[in-house]
Amino acid sequence: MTLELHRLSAGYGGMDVIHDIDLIVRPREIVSLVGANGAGKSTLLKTISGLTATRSGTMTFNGKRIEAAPTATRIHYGIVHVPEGRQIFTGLSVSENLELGAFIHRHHSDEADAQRAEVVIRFPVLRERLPDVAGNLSGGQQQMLAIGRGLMSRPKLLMLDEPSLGLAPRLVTEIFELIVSLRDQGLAILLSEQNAQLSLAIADRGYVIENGRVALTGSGQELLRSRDVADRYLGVGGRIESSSAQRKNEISRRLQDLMRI
Amino acid sequence: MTSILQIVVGGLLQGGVFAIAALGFSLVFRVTNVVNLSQGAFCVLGAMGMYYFQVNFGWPILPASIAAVVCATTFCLLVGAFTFVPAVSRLPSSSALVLTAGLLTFFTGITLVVWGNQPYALPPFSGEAPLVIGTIRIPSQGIWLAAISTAMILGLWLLLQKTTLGRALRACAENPAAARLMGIDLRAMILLSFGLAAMIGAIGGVLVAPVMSLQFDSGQFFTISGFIAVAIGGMGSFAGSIVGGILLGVAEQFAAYYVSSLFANTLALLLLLGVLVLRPAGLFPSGPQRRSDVRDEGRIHRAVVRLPARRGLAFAVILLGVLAVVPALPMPSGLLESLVISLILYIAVLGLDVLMGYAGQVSLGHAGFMAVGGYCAAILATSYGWPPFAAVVAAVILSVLCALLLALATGRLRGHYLALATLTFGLLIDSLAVGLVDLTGGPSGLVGVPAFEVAGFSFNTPMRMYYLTLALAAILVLGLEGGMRLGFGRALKAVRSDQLAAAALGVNVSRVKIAALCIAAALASLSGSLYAFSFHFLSPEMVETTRSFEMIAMLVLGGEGTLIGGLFGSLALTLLPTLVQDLAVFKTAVEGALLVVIFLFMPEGIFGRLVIWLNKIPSHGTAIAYAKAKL
Amino acid sequence: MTVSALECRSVSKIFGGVLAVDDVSLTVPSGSVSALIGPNGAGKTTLFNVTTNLFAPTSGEVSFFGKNVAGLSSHHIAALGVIRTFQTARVFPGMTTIENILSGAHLHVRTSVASQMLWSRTARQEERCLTEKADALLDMIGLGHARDVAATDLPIGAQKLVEVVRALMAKPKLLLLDEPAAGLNDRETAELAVFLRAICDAGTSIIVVEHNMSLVMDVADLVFVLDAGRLIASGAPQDIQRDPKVIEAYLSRPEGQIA
Repeated sequence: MTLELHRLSAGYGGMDVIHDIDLIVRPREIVSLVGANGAGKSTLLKTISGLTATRSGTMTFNGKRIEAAPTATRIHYGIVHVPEGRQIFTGLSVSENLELGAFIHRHHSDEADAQRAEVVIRFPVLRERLPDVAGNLSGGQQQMLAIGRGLMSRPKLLMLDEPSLGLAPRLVTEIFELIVSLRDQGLAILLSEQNAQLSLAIADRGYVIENGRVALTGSGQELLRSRDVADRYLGVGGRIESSSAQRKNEISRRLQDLMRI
Repeated sequence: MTSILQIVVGGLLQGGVFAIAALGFSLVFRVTNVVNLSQGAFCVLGAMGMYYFQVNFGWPILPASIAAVVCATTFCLLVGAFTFVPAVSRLPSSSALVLTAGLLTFFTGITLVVWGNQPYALPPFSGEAPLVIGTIRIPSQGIWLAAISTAMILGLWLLLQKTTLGRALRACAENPAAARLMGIDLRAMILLSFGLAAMIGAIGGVLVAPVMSLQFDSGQFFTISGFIAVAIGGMGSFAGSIVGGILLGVAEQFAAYYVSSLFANTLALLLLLGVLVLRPAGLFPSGPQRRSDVRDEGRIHRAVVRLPARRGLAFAVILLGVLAVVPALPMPSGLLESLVISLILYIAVLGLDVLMGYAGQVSLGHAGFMAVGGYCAAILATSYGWPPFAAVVAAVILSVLCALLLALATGRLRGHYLALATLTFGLLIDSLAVGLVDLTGGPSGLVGVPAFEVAGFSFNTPMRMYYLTLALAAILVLGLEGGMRLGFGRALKAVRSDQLAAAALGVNVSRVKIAALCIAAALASLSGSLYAFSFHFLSPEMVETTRSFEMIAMLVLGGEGTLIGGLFGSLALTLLPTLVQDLAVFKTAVEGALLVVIFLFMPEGIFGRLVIWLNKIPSHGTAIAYAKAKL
Repeated sequence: MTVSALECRSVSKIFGGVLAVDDVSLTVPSGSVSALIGPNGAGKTTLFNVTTNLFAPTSGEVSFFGKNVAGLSSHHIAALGVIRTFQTARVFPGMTTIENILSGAHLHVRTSVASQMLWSRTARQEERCLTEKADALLDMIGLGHARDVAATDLPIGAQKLVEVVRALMAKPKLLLLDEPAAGLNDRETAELAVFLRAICDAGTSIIVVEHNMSLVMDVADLVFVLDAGRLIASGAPQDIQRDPKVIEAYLSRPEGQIA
């Protein structure tokens, strides 16, 4: 399986949020998307899963064009999206959440059962809490449930949006180990993370997204060592040069006048 | 003792009917977060279908009832697929609420066209003989009703809790975006819930047809009772729907027995208002509420409808000029009277525009303020001999006081709860107008209202009334435009779209909302009293809740948030049926359909569309501005 | 001795059993630009929301310019001269850009509704005055051409700028900006930095919640670092950059633990 995006644009309302994205995810590969908040990483994932409509460009999965396909079809093909903020069904039980993950395979209940057994083995913590209301799980457990629910759809490509959000460092490590092991078992992973350092460290390849465009791409290690990425995340400062200092004073004077009105 | 038990039985029977309607509300609300006001119409369609197959075709009960339910459900599914489903995915839930009011009107109108306005009654399923236990008599149809509704509730519960489909429905109710990521087709689920609600309603209709005489507009009764039941019980909770329905039924029966049947409604509404104020979430708040941190980005887009100052002025002058010379033109008889009515209603719609179009607060009880104003002024002028002008002023003051009281009581209510509280208010006033016979003349109305006069000049001809209302409307538009284009209007619009952001800029959100409500109440009151003075008569049905829905239709059709728009809406909806008398029977259906279609496909309304066209005509100044904006 | 713009004393906020803000005490001097940074989910926005009383703190006290905010609603806080913006751009839909900016002047509209409705001379004069000011501000951020366009049709970056300028119309003493640089490109971010410094020089204190470290390094006098709801460091930007605790929590995590 290979996911390929070519000059893909998408957005909400009157505007495009992502522009001309070229991106490829190959089998058994972790691809990391890094970039600031609001850069368009989540929108990109939503566009791939079909929550956001494609405006222009093409998207193929295993050679099949999918940019116009509904979400359900994409899940059938094996593209599964675990959204930001987990978005589990907090009022439903843990086991109902898992069963909803297998919604598109509802006509093959024995396969779904087998898949569920597998997921529960992978997340022993969920087994103990199957009848509980999902909203009562801790943050880490909820994230496990969200990923487990995604696995229930039997993905070939698993897209994870900010899986480390709001988790304690120890849990973050656990999640990232899990991601690596899923890759090793044959899944392709598309990972969107604020935590660039960590996600590039486990990535085979990475894309830096900036203002809805691919600003930089390369292997995970290349990007980690790249000066640009370091600047972006570590911050260099000192960009207010003398010319801007003058502009600043001018604006400040005008502001002072205006504030008197 | 016996009589009390007998009343309870009556109440349970009545409550069962309410509970069925409430169940439909809850189901749709849980999945879509929209209160579907067309719920009551499903009952009527089911009952009318039953009549058709049983009486017209002479089919036996079982096949006739199955055919009736299937036909009604199919019809509602078809309509729902093209209206409700796109509305839920595209519109904010308050607009979707108004759209369902349009659907209710549409279904009512269709029933009127097909079955006329006479009442229908059907024979009970198993004979007239009641079941007698001791001294208590239980109508045989009541047993059917109880048995079948219990079965329905059980079936619904099993469907939701025990099946994959039910889990999918609950998932949509809780988190639509995540449900889509599971491969669940959201639109299909919305349609499914709508269809199920239609089926429940139709079954309910078939069951009650033998115990209640139904006519084309009974849908409103079911919607309102079912809604009251569900609001008392707790929106979205099935147990709450049933308890709420039965509580309401029993309360109404007791009220009818011990007080007066004219006040049964009033008491029910007071009960509801009490619950809404004390426990806005109802007696059984439903478990998981939809996450409010998930923002639906596609839904908040709203176009700017505005003419540049110079064109706006030119437009206003031309419009006023045309309206001023219209009475001088030759026209068919009765048209001038219709024009007067349009202008009078336009004054009320102006107020509604401030409240709904600018401040974004949906009011489903606007006619209630018309009634308060109309009755107060008419009573003062007729029974107490007040000069009409003073009576109008007093009426306006009373309406504003009512508005303040309502605002105080509903201060904590937001979103659709406010819409529902205003609906309750409108119904309450409605039932008072019917019930307080000594004061209002009851259902037959208040007669002998004098003509309006100021300083000895009597507006006793349609021509005089026309110029009076035209002048008033012009002055009001001018004044409101002054407020709307400056700070006050901006505060209203800020509150309309984003209360949090508005408050962060120092806008006192509740005060602004109350101000808008008071303006709306004052204008509605003025309109109501002019209405009474112009007709020399006022009856409850002139200012009932249907009128509230009609005024919303006028506003939406003309264009919200434009002040002028309402005029086009009220002219269109008042004059069309007058001009085409033969088609009067279609009026209601067309009104409903227009409201729905405009909401979905032309949200800017007639005037909004006009403005967009006018803005496209390039003039020197705007062309440059346009070119600049394009850059 | 100047009064501090914002003071938090042992503020905690519990959300559904989770300690989102954990015993945070901090003081922001007036006349400065301060930045609140930390990894996603560290509680920055929650702290913002608690200080502006969007939700009351579970414990602790917040005061602006020495005035305790307990029990004040949002519009009262705005009236104290404390104006905030939101993480997602929140321009008002259905209003043009200039109307959006004018709506920021709500607190300074002196004429009554009645006088507006009567088209009184004072109301019209006031409007002219406010419009001139709004236009000047709009030109300052280079959006003069978009004056009569629906604000929601602007790109996200421009909407964020409109929000900042709208807040300025309220003549704030303290501006709280939640991720103003989200959605801006590098050049725009640099311009925003200049603009923020200018605002501060003109007499308005600023607190920003920000992810964009280069912006923080450019504009902040003082940086506060939150991690898992706790304040783990505060100080000048250069010191923060070198603080091992900050590097561990925010900028990276030890790579050895992975793979």
